[in-house]
Amino acid sequence: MRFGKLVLSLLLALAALPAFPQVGHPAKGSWLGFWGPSEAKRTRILLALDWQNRQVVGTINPGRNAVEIDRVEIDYATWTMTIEADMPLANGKTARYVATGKLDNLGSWLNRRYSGTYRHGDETGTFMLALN
Amino acid sequence: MRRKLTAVLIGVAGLGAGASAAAHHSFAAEFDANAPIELTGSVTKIDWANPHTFFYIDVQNAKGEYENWALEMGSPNGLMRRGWTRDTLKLGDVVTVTGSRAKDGSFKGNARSVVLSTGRRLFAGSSQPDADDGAN
Repeated sequence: MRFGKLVLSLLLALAALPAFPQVGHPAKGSWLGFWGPSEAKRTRILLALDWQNRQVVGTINPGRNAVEIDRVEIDYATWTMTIEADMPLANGKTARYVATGKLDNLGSWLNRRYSGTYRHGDETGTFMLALN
Repeated sequence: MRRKLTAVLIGVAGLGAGASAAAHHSFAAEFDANAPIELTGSVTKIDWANPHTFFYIDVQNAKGEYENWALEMGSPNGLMRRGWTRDTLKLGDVVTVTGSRAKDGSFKGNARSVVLSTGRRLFAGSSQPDADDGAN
């Protein structure tokens, strides 16, 4: 009987190993891709998202030109995520950046996608990011 | 009955151990010492894990296209002995990496040293046999 319990415990411990990478909010991680008004005019974008105090927080293009995201909203019924930030324009002024897109392939750790449309000042376009 | 259970347990444990070992490999199995690389790019992901830590950098090629390189380093413990901390690399940092490219020609390499955005150079705990490893 004691031996059976030992076997069961070890099997459960082994079963838990593959579950480790699946922790955290599905949006958490570094997302890499492009955004732009057209296919010919695309800009590289890196989105670093984290899950803190039951909220998604993060940064657009971490590094020297980092922009802090100040609002994230997720519609969990459709997994539509909206992020907002005040981001510099090419002329140096700042305009509101609002991106709305769908999180796809959430069951996959390596192939998650976040894609949709954005508005930045007068400019509108599309974006496509993959979990890096 | 007990003998059958023992056999099952050994089998399952072997599978579990095999999954961990699959990530560990010799340098020569995956990388080409005769294909040196020197890459400069911004960090897009850092993955502190055993048996190898990986980080990813965005490198622009001659056409201006982005190549996202995966660079393998030593274990977290090995890197700590070479002066690394969890905060040494941050997303967006521009770094220069020297090392060897993967044999399959993918955007993957084994890092030998990394020059950080501060100008500091650190050894990456490379598994390359003759690599200068800088360990204390």
